[in-house]
Amino acid sequence: MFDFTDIIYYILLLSAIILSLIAPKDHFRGLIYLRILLIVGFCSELSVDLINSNYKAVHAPPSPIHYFYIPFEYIMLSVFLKKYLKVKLVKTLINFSFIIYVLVALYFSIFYYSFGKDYPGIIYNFGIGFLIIWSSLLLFNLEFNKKVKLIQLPIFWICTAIIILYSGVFFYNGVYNYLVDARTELAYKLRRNINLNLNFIFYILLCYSFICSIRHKKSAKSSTL
Amino acid sequence: MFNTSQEVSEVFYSVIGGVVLMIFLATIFILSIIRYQNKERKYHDEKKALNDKFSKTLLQSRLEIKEQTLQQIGYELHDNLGQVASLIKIHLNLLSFEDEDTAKQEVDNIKELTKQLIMDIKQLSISLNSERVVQLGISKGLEFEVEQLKKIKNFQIKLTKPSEFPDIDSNTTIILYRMIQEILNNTIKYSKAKRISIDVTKTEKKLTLVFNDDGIGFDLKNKLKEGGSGLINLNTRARLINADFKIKSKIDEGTTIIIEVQL
Repeated sequence: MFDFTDIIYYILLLSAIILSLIAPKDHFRGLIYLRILLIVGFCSELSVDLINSNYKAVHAPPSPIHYFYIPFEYIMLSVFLKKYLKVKLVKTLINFSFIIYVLVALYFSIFYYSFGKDYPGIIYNFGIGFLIIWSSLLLFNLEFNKKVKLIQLPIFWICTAIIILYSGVFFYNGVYNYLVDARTELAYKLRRNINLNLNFIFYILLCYSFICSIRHKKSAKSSTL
Repeated sequence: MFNTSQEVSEVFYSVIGGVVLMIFLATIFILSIIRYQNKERKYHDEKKALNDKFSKTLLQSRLEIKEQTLQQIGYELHDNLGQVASLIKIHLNLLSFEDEDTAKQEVDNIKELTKQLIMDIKQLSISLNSERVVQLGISKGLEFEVEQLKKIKNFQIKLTKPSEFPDIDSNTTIILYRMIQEILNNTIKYSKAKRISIDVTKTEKKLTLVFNDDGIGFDLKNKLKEGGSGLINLNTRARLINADFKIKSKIDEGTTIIIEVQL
């Protein structure tokens, strides 16, 4: 049912969840959204794998769970990033994007994918585009304490993780459904090579961001002592 | 669709290559952001250091100006207001009502002296009050100072200035006005000049004030070697208001001081 890479994937995902729960809430704005996202992500991934456990991995059909999880992921990450953005116009744009995204996701889910025909690559890429923009804007406008370096900030690593994961996935998503139809095994091989490895990087960076916030709390505590 | 395993490999490596390229670009992008943020931080740190230095110098100059102002008050009270008040006291002591005409004459004198005393106090307060200086502006302030100097009558003083003056912020106005006062006071005290001229010119980018006298002049190098705190203070103040400060002086050939304020 699970191979070695799947086990590593779940270990990293679980580590991220545990570290997010240890990370101090008062030193990490919007942490609650990441916690919820990681827990829901874990449950949905596990559900998809369990549902598809009867199939041979290569021939596992796309799960309807993705049609709900992908918009949820976009909303959670956007709300989280919004907590750090200072520019009012960008905040308004993010709010506006929720409506557009949900409408686009609904339209494609019903009329294009019929909730399960294919993997919802278009819906995913639509959100990815927005998330990369919000993360980039946030990194450019990040205001931070002079005592802390940029690379010590949890939000820096989260934005980096988002940009790296999604810039890779964006390219691959475009050809995924085509390859599933044309060469299922090739599509599966690519998914294993790209999606899993990028997710490893994503969760490692996410774990590091939580470690940064834990360290930050400790140093703040020792400086007050 | 894909006929050979070579074509499959090509697609596989193309997609992998594309993804790697995208990640590479994303990494470059993130590194640029780090560089940008570091530069921003460095720029802000430098700006803050400059601002701190500026505030420190400004404060020091203000303290110096305050000290000079107190000295000026002391000087005015002793040499001017004190003298007039003493004269009033003398006239009051001499006042006798035995001869009505003489008494009337004495009262008139006392009235005149009191009027002068009130005028002097008023002018002194105008000259020392920074808010008043800002209200007056440099143009009116210069006119006021020249009018005061004309009363001394030991020398000729001439002011040439444009009809319209540029808007200058309050900090610059106060510092520039105090510089003008100091230059004129020094000229009266030390130059033994018979003729003093003040020429003000204005262009789009700068306001130029040229103070010229035909006095005894001085050796600039020697003056600076001796300490020349007055000249150094004037130069520091000029830098505070982003102005150029130049002095040309030779013994027995008078002195020319030029202040160029960038607008």
